[in-house]
Amino acid sequence: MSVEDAKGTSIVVDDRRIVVRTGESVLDACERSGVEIQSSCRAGLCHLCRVRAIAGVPPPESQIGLDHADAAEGWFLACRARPSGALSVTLDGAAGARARVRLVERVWLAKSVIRARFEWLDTFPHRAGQFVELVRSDGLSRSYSIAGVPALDPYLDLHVRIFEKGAMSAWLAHEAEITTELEVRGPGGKCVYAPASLDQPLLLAATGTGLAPLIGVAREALAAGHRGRIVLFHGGLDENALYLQDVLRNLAATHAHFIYQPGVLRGPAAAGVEIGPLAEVIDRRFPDLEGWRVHLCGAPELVELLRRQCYLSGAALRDIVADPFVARVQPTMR
Amino acid sequence: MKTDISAPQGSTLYQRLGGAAAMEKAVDRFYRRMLKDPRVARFFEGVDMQQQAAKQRGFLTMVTGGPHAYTGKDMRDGHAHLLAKGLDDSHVDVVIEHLGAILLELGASPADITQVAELANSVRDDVLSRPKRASG
Repeated sequence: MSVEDAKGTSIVVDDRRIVVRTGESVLDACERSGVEIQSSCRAGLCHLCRVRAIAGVPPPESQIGLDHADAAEGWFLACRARPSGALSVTLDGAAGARARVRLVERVWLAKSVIRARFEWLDTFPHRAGQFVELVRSDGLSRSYSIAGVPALDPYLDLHVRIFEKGAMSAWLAHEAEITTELEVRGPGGKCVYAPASLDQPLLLAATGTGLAPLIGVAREALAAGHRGRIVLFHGGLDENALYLQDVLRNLAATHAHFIYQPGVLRGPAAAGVEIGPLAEVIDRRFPDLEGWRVHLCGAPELVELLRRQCYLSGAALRDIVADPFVARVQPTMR
Repeated sequence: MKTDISAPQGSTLYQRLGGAAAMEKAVDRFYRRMLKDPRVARFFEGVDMQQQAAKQRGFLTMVTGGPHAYTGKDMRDGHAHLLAKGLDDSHVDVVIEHLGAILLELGASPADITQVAELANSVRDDVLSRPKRASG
């Protein structure tokens, strides 16, 4: 839906046709046409003018400085984009889609973790590694990571950490009737599988239910034919916090380049489970992360500690994606 | 990794190094060196790493002659809280030292480094919240 002529290139911005004149950026053209885009430096530095292409390919120079996941989703900087071909752009920054789901199954995975499985009544585009907001009919809402891989799994699976005083989690664990309908909104989060190449090694590190999105990322990577190493660390306070160990060991047994390493802060622990702080375990096993892509999900303090550590170990900042889980209530146990 | 940057006279170091993509790489190395240097690491404690990297990208773009939006006021406001932590000339010297080292790694010439150091020095008074002196 674009016409290139002597005057410039025609693009579509939220259903409005705008001509980007020769030499103009998408930002310039929008401003001239009365379409408001937040901006400041106009030099590709502040990232305020981030917008997303929903059709067409943004010029590569407009994606410099964005992380791979954002670039793969079509995000680009309007001030740096001088398009020469078809481009449809949305200014809708927050993913605001909604869908209905029905609770169909509840399985205890660990002492305080359930897998809540929902059937999609309608759906919206989403990816493994992202999170959605689950909204009960009375408006109560909480965010949970998507545990599955949309292309492989028909259901919406969420791993829910149960806080006995948690309004949503205790209700989901003990009260919600199977067939209850809820709304989901989203998706959000940058922890998606988006390596620079199929050969880039992946380090996935999770604590608690941070495992959910990273299992999804690992399975998506394997399904995509990823060739680089995929190393998944799952840490918890003690063995009660570890779950899906059999599933992950099986996955490791059938894929030579997938490595699963559970760990606990405090022993005792079964053979094959590391004991000690997760950051130390990772540093000991993978002291050099140059060229790696790193996904971190779970307790915010640990995520930030690992972000710094992985960067100092050589991973580029743009190759470190993180999703800190912030609990709405004090955990009864950790 | 040295790059051949024999380039036309008058082009900026920013352009010769490879523009925005090179800045990305430069910031990654520069910030890592700062965090690993015990002389300055404490100034980065508790700092949001992505925001910090974005600011450094702006700074490196400025001192290599690229398109930037840095102002003296930004420099003053951005560093004022660090004066209480003891920020002084010696730390600015460390910044310039690391800056020179990573730009050399990325292919800049010693003459380029001298010029970059001059530009970096031109904001020294702003960084340290001193009255601006006549340059030269």
